[in-house]
Amino acid sequence: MKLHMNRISRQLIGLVFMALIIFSVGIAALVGWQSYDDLKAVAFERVKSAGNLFASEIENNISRAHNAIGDVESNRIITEQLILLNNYGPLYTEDVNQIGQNILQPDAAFYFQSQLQLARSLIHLLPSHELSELKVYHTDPFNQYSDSRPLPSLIIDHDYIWFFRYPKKSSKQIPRLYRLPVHQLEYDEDFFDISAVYQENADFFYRTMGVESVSELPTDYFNRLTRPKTISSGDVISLAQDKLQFIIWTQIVIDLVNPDTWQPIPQSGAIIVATQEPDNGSLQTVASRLGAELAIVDSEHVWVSSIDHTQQDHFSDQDLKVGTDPYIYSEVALTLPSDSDTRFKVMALSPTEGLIKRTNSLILRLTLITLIAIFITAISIYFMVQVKLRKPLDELLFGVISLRKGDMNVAVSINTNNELATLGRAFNDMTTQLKDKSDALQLANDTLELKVKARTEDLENAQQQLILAEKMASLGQLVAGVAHEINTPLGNSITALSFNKTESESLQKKFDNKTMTASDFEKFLSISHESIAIMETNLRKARQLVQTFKNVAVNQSVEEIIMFCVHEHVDEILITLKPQLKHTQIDLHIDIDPDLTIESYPGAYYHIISNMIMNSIKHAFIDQRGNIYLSIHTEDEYLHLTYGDDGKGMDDVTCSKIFDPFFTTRRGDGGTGLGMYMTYNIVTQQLGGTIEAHSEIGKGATFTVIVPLTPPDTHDSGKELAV
Amino acid sequence: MTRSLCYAFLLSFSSLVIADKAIDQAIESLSPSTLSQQDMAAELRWFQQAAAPFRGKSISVVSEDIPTHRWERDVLAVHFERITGIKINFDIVGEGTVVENIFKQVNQGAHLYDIYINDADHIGTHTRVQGVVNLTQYMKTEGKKFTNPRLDLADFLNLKFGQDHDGQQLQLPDQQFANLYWFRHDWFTRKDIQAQFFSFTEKKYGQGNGYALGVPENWAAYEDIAEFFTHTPIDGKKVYGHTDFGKKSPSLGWRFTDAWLSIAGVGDIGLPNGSPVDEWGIRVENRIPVGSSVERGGATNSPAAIYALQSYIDWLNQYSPPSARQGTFRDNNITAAKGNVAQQVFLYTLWINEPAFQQGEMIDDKGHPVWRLAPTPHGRYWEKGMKVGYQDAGSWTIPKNTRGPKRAAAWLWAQFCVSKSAAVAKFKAGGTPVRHSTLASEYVQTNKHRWGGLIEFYQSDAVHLWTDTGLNVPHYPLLFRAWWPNLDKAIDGQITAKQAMDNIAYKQDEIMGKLKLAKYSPRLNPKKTQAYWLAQPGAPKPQKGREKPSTLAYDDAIKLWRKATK
Repeated sequence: MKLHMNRISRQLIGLVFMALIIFSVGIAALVGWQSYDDLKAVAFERVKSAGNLFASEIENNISRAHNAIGDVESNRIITEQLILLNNYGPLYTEDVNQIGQNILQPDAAFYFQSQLQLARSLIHLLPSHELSELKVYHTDPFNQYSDSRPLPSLIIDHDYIWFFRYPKKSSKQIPRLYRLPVHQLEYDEDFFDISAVYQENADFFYRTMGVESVSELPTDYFNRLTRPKTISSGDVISLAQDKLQFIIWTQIVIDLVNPDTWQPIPQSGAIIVATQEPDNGSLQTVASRLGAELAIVDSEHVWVSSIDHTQQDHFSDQDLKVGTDPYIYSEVALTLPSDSDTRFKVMALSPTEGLIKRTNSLILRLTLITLIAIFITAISIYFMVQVKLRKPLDELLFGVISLRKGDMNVAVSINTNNELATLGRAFNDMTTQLKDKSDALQLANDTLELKVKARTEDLENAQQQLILAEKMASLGQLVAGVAHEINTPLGNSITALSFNKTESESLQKKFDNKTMTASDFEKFLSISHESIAIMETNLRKARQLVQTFKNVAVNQSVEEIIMFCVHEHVDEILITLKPQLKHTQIDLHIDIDPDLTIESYPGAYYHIISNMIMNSIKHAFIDQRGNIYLSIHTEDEYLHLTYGDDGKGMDDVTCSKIFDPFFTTRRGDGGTGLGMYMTYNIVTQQLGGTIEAHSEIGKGATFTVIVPLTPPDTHDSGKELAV
Repeated sequence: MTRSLCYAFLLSFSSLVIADKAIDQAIESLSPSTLSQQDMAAELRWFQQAAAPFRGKSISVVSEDIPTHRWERDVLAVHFERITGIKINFDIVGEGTVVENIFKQVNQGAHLYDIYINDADHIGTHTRVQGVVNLTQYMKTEGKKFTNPRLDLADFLNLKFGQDHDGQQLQLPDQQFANLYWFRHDWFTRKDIQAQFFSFTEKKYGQGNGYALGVPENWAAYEDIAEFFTHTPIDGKKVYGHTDFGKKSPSLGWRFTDAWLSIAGVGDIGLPNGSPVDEWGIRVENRIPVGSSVERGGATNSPAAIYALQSYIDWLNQYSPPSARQGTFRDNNITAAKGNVAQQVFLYTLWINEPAFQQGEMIDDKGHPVWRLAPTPHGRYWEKGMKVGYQDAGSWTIPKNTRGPKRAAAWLWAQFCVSKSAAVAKFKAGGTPVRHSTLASEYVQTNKHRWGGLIEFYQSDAVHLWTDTGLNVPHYPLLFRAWWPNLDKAIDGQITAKQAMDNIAYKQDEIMGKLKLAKYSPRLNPKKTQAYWLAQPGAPKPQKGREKPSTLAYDDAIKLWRKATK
């Protein structure tokens, strides 16, 4: 048998798949477009932060460079050289007579020496502050030259050190210019010490150092400066029209001797001008580090850019085109201390061309991936259902159906180890157990009747044996009583006889010895009469007893209805119980009409009464004084037998079970638990009456037996039922 | 207008009054002088007038740290400013710093001070570097009107120390001191100690070879006396037979370049510095230094130089107070004046003016010194005709880049410091005379016992046998750098005396080989074997054995000076 997918399921599944496909394509497109927006936002954030970063880097660089050239003031070696440079330079003299005079040869040599030492001390600022150039200018610290502007003294760039040489102490003069390749700046520590400045002319030092004379002067910042000299220290401006230069400058305060007092005082004696010249190349380096294209622009120009094309076409405040390529961009205004109107901005850009392509490709890939995923999942689910679910379920179903049909031998095959396998195993276990149980049940059914019959027989046998045992026990009790009762008169008789015999032998002796007197004979006769009387009395008593026992025994053993006097019968019963009663302190109170005779089974009464008395002895009066009341009366056609004692009594549980077979509280003492059960059966079955028991703990027990005067004539069945 | 003129008049008048008062104060403070009070006033007034253009300005001065300069700064500069209105910014620093600064100024142009008090030892350098003002020329030309008519150059003791080969004055002496032997005259003249010493020498050299305790004529005797006192308690007290200073410092180098090698006899015969080889061991031919090592004809690492260093080390270790190894030029003399030193091979006499030499165990009941100065003992390589000791003059030196009015103001100050008006007072304060007139003054002659023979020395003819480093050393500061680090290593036992002198000699050759000086720049001899040079007459001299010790009675030793005087 097989499960079959029905049509509705198939349609539903088809619909679900269709929905999934539409959903996935939709999601892919949505994700794609959303991600385009997100990516663009992210890209914008990135270019914005790159722009901020770059702007703050430029600002920091400029600020650091500014600080660095300002720190020169605290460098003793450099300030010493700046002082020297001033002393021997064109614009300062502590002796006013020297103004306009030629600079002496030794002084020119000192000037060159200072330039060299200064170059050595300053050159490291270039790489550490990304400077393209560093210039040292002279000022006119004490305004000794009217209308003078700062004069260049030293220029350090990455290739050369440029030395200006002035012939005169004058503010208006054309200096000579020399330059020295940077790598030739090395000289021995004692180079200046071993040379006599006052002998050699200055040319000696220029020659020794290997400088070359240059005819064309390089760009002079302060000559180019057309605006009024109001700019303060540290201003940043761009001078060149064709390239971007951040020019940072600071005045250096040094101790110069006041020409009036000859006392050294701190004075602005030099200007250090540092140039940072960001170019496309350096921007590209930073750009690759920041992950965005960079440019420095003002409102009109793109000054430098890490992108080749500098022609920009703005079409929104976030998008522009460079050439034909779309970009996203962010602009940050540079905060630079500047006297210039030009406000520079840093622009960070990121191409969006790639972003669009990437988005399209993302949508395509997402769609494909989702579709493939759905397909693979569908197939997987199908095969999973087929293999893992359908097949085992089919088998289980088959098994269940087979089972329903009664095929107990059905078993499902288990190939996996999942929940269904567990279920299958449980099913198999179940069928196996079901089969076993079914077989066993059948077998049990088959043997039950025989068993019941045999057990019933066994039970009957056992009951008979038990009843016999109980009877034998009663008989034993009877015999013991008889033996005991007879023993006394017989013993008295033997004693009397024995005394008589002794006397007789004594008389015989006297007779033989002829010593017998009359009195002796008389005494003997008296004794003899007395002995015979004793013997007679006792033997009669014995005979009476035997007769009694004979009656009882006959009554008990012969279950026939006979006529008997109830009072006499009870007396006889009590005689048989005398040995048991003798050692107790129980007073019997018998209330029976002496003339009451009934036609019934005397054995039954013997059992009832003796059993009750024995129970009172054994259970109610253990080592205890007490009374037993027995009354038997007739009332209409019924005989009422009431038996009671004032012993320990019974609790409700005991009282309710007292007629149950084998119920005893003294099993260890040899009780069988069948006495009251037999009593009950005798009363209800043999005598056709009822028996009731009442008792409370500490208040004794009362049994009320009511039987018809004439027992039912059901000898056989009664016998059977009594068992 | 009239009013302002009145004010101007009043102002200048009052300043004149103040200045006059300043002159009066100066006369009072600087007396006694070899000049009469009228002459003093005239001289001081001249300074006042010559300095008039510079009133209100200041010049900067630097010197080494000795009592004379402290007095100049604390006393003279105050008077000078009161009189002339020129403020003196006077820095007193270590001698090493003075030298460093002046050559930084001269070689590199740094304007550090307007005027220096620079040892005339540097005359050889100044002559060659030409970085200082030629005072002879200056006095004739630009500085003529600023030159004190009472300067009296002829009165100066050792003017030559500041002159170049051609007699041009590059440095003007401001203070001077000599290196002289000193000893405990009280101990040396005690009969018991003399007897003990005689038996000590007899025991050492054998019966009949003993000699008397006295001023040692040579190092052998000095050594014996040092040994004797070091091992002979005086009045139950441990004393030392020698003292010196051995701390790693530039002053360690000066001890050698100033005197130790010269008195050992390293150089040649000839004054002032031995020719052709001087006491630095530098051979100079025609004013051109040609070598320092024996291989180039010099003597810096010659046996005599090694002997000098070895003796120095041995005596320092064996006969000096333990603290001497840590002493310098300054604090060594405190040790020497504690009363537990018997003699010292040579002492910079400027220190005898220190309180340490004028108190405690160093003076007797009358307050007179118990010590005496005497001629320095010679080492075993010393020969007659050689310089016998060192004396130097700290001299006014003006770098050429002190120009125009500043130069004039500085020159005025220098002259003020060596003026006759101030000379005696300055000698009293520092014990460093530069003028004959000072030594001859009534005050000095009356009190000459205070200086333990120094006046006698200066007034003797023998004084010219004590000279400074002189013209031979072509660049004092550069060459000097070779000395003290190597000497310290040798004293410390890191290298031997020979290794130290070799190092110094070769380093000096190396430096001289590089020098490019204006005049008489060194030109090194080609190298030859040591044996060649040692075989030549004069320095470098071959190994010699120990000389026979000899001593002179103090009076006889002093007679040598007196005889020379006559």
